[in-house]
Amino acid sequence: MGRYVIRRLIQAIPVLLGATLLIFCIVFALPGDPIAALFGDKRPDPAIAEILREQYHLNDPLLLQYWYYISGVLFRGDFGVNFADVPVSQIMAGKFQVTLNLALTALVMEAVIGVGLGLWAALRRGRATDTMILASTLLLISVPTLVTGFVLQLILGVKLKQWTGLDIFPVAGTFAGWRSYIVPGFVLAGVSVAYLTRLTRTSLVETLRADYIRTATAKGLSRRRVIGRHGLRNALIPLVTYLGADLGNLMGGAVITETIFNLQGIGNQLFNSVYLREQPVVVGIVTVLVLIYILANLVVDLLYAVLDPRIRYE
Amino acid sequence: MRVTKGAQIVAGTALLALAVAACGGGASESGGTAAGGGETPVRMEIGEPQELLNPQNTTETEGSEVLAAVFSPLVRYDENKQPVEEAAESITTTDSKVWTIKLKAGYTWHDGTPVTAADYARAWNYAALQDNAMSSSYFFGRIDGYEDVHPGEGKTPSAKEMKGLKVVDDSTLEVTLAAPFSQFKTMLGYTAFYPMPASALGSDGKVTQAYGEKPIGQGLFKVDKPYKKGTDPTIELSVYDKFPGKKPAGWTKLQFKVYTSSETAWNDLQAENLDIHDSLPATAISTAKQVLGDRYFDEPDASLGYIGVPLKYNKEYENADVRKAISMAIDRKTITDTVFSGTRAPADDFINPAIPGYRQGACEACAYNPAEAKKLYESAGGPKTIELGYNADGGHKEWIEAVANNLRANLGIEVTPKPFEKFQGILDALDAKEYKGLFRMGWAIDYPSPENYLTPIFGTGSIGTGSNYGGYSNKEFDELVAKGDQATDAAEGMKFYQQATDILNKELPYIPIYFYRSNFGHSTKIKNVKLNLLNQINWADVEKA
Repeated sequence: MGRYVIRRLIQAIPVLLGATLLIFCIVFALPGDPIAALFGDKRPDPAIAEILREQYHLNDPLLLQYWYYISGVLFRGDFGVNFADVPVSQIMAGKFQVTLNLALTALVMEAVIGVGLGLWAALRRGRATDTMILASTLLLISVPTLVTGFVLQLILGVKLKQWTGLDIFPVAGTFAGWRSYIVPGFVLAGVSVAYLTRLTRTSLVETLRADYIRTATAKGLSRRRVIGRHGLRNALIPLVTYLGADLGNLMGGAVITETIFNLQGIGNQLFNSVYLREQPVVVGIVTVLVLIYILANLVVDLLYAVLDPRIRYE
Repeated sequence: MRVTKGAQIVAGTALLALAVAACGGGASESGGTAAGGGETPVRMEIGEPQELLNPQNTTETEGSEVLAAVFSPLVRYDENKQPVEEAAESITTTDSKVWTIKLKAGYTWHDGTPVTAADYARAWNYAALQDNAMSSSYFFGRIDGYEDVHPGEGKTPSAKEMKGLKVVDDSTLEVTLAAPFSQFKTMLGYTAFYPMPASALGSDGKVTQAYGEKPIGQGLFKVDKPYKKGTDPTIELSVYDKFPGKKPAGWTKLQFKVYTSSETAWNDLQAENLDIHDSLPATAISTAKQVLGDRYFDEPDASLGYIGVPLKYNKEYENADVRKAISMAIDRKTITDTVFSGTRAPADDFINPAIPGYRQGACEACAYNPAEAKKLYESAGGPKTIELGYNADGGHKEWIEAVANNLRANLGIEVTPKPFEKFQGILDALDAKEYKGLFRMGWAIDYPSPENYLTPIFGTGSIGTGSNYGGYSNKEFDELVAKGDQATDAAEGMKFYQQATDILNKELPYIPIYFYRSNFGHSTKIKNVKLNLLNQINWADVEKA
């Protein structure tokens, strides 16, 4: 068990190194001059542009640039600076905090709502409830995040306060502590909730047809125990896989939600940094995201063993 | 479950770790409304400043807005758009070449030490020195000795300080320019000319990171805590007790809130979580007028949008009649009303109405006249196909498409809008001779003088080093501008600048399309909000409602 985990973690090292090099090359290959981009619509003073290029090693060949970067990370724990000389570690620390809060809120919401609705639909299979849940999830999937985001922000953030005078859901920002994350978390979770509901329903419906369920019922177990212990538990494996993979999506792919709710998170930072070609920032963030993917997948694999005792890792 | 015990523990620990990490910073973020122990600050929207808060390295609007609250400029601009002394007692010259700046007594840095003339010399020398790579360096190009400290690419500066800057005594600075420039006083209100305290520089002689996060100014507001760029959602300021000028009545706290989307900021303004929003999105303008009523403002902004003409690169546009015909074929009014929802105004001069020197309708060929345009275009033998380059990152696609439609319909020619990733890409393609079509161009002023619309964009000396991207060169124009520069009083200077502008209006080296407007609004909690020419707010006048 322990050896398995260690082996998986060691395997992560080449993946991380490969990912940094790959991202580095991709950002390097983007067209346009990052120094010129700093000056907007004005042509930069050539002398100053040259000094800045020199300062950020932009004149060096790709591999040398990569070496400056990776040696800083490996030997000094220094993730470099962006073009305004702000340390990347400082940027990442602040933004990952916000994004993690948002992603976990969304993850909890999609797990609770998605599995709950899926369970309900599966148990009422073929009846009106089932059809209604399926129809509403279809609606949820087809409405873009941009729309749900702005609509909920306007109704819950602006109008609710104007009508009732109560400031329950803040419009934007992280000033209201955990309350700041409820609406954006829900918006972000929206599409996944729908998928998860459908996944839960299908998976559970299938499991409930299995022989061991019939056996369990024949043994005289209570319906609650049959569904909870034997049905849902076995149906959970695809759901856990989905949730694990989704954590990474929620963290890196929340650009729209973060922008609408003015959450200064990773998605937005990544978007801007790619635009400005800030290699150290992009590589730093992507590396951490890769790490999160790896860890989330590891946790998922371990959860398999928890859910299904037949699966062993040795 | 014997086998899976370990897995349970590991999985559980990992989940717990995630949860702990998530909760870790949640409590430490101070509330936006509760900050400052009771008093609700006046809250203003900004985008994230591009650089750390160092005046000499700030040439964009967001950082400038913050710094304008922290620093007091040598001159501010009055209702007549003229520079008047603020932190300076007097700014005098007899020949527009040697300028004597006397500082007003009583100004102190936020750490209590007095502000002296040496602090100004320090700032300006620091900004100009090539090795420091400050983005504002070009502002000092007119000062005598700039070439020594900023000799250009690949060359090493032969001096550290400009010989044209002389500290006469603690309160007097004498500035000698390389050539007379009647508009020098107007330049002094800009961010780059703020002073710099000795404590800003570290042992290596460079501005420190700490200063960039918490600049020490001599203005109305001091920065309360270091601004961690990229992390902090707000910048917190409070009134500096020893500020000698006018202070706001009844409030002391100012907060800049960083937004990534102006739509979101607009929603926050409606919910009264924000007090001032100075870049209302075009999509919200019609609702903003209704919702805000007399709290909505629409004022001229000094920026200007053009279609640039690559005169240097493409002979097809050499004939001024071709450019005039193109200009007359563009329906500016409809474009500004529909594409920009009225947030821009049709351009009818090369000088913006926000700046002295503007004359309504001065550009005759800017009036929409499709019939005349077609006739002129055909007689002048304009090109059968036109390319319209624009940078795809700035929301220019829609109006460029509209211009293209105008030209197609009114001139009967083939027009291809051509997107470039960034504006710089257009210039590079022109230089590399890969592209030789028209291009979208915008100009935001550096200082509110008519001269700023002339020399940097159309002066022969600005080809290559300045912003004269089209390569327009006209001796008569250059001479008139030079005469304006050498004038010893403002009115005389204005006469020459307007004569130079007449040449532009006649020859249309670029085709002016629209003037920008400032669309801003404020909450019910404050009143008396006014923007100056640089789009900065006169904080001392703002009152709580």
